[in-house]
Amino acid sequence: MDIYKKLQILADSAKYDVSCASSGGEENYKEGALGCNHKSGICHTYTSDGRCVSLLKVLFTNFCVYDCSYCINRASNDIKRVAFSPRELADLTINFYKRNYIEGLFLSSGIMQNEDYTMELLIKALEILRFEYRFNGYIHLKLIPNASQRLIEKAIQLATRVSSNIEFPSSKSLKLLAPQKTKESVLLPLKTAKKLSLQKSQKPISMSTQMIIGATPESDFEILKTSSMMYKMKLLNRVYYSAYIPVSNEKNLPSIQTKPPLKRENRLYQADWLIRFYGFEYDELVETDQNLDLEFDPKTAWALKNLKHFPIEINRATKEELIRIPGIGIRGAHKILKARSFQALGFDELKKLGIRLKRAKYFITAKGKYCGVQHFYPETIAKSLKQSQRRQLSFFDDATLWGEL
Amino acid sequence: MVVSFDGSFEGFLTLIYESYYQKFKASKITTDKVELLLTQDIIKINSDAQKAKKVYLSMKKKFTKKGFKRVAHCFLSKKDDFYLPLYEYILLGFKDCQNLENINIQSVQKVHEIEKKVFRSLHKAYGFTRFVELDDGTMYAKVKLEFYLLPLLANHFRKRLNSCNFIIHDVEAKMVAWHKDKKLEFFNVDSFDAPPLSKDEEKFSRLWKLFFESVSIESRKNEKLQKKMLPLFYREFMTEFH
Repeated sequence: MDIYKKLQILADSAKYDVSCASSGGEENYKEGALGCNHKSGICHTYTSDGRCVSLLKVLFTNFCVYDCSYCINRASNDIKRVAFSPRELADLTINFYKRNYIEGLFLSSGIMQNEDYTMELLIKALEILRFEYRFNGYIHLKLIPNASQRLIEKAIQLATRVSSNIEFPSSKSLKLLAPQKTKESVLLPLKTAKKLSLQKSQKPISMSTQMIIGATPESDFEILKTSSMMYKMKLLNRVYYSAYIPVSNEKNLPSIQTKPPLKRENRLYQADWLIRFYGFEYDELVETDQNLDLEFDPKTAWALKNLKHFPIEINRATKEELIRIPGIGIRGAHKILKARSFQALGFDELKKLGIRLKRAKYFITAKGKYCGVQHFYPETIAKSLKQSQRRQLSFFDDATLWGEL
Repeated sequence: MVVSFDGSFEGFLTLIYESYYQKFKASKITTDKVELLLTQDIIKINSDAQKAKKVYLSMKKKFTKKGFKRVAHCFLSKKDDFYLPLYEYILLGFKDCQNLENINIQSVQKVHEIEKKVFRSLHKAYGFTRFVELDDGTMYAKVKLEFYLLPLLANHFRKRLNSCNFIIHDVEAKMVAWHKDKKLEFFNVDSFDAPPLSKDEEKFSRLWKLFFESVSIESRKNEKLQKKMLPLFYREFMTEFH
């Protein structure tokens, strides 16, 4: 089969995979090499649905011996099967990179013959890239569960970032839907990577995972608890959440008519962000066994439930307090801190600084003045917020849904 | 006081020098020819390398590193709306270099914003520039840029395509950056006819277009969002849109 057809099939099967970020790596310029990572990641194009394309995201093959019922490539599904050769994939990557189409490679794969056989093919492709073409750019490799320790270690040496999909926050769901995977088999690659990266001689490697949302009954509380624990154990830099898109009529799964829970996915990303960068704990954001509020973003929902901390005087608040104000992000907080070291800030000054007050105004005072609602109750604030939300254009919502993840 | 200068960086620094020693304060800065202006009180600045150098060195000495770089970054802009804010910014900096970070002051904030815009545009160019392979293996890119970014852009690709020879051709500025045998040089060119393409070029550009179409999700089509993230301005030389 020709390379055109292969690429079409193997790109198509990988496109719902959410992670596409190339950010977070350090600049690693090497003289005489091809490729250099960029700290903040670079979007190279945008698809007609408005998502950023940063990496050549493909499956090595869609052959698979596993029969995970939520997956389109499951062994029992009747679809066309193809595989790249390591050389084909390496050539594709290099030539795309040289033309500045992409930031690097995101390689994932179905399991052909057995785990180690597949892993060896992936390693072969990476070796051609790294040693033969001296490619120094970004490579994200999804490790194959149950592959042998030796191969996992080898793969980790070649990649910039590795990941292993946990798929579901509970072993019960995993057992039900992905009988050949176990909690141990998906966690082991990550543990190995962590161990390796702690050795001094090694470059630090960054790791991520993916969980499928809405295919199983776990609540957002359980999902965020799992993510938080992984972050605390320093096992992961990043968790991706993927709204389940129905692919079969299996009795254990939501019916094929179910719409993917995109809003829920978006809320999970927002909450995850708050946990990683804003100092929130998962149990502050969502109550035991509950889901996140769909109407308000997690920070606003938290603030409405904790009005006792508000309004916050922006001229006195610490950075930690400032970033907990709905509508004020890390950048906004830095601007405020910088500006207020010269003079006290009122609402006019905040506006001039370009601080968005649409949401924040309900939760702050500036020079003692409050400009929000007449009665400082959660209900009245929620009502005003809802009214202003309704006026927003719908594509702003989409932008937050599909920006670079 | 209306002040006119020749639009060059050197001229601008001379303007700062004269303003300081001749003790005038500019209220409007223009690059228009003096004869065309009807106003009476115009000071015409003649670029002076010595004076400019003095201002340059004393900025370097007195300003913070960040505050100093910001001056040059503003001059990458093709618009002329930054002259007055930048003038005030520099004078404020000489009074107290702390002022350079005081974004409560309008002109300082404006200068910060211009710098941000320049960087944002540069970041876009990092992603949206497209190369084709010529038959001698040199990578060749045509670009149109919102700002005078060619040197910064070329430096980015010098690190990235270090093992390749490449040419970046700014078609509006009529300049090329040429990376050949590990050396980066800049030339002015009136026209530039690119040599023939390599035999693989068509194959890979076709594969890229195919990939681009395969990863789009038809049922979530949102061209408005696509246009917002990737304005038409940038698409002129992008392989996947042709």
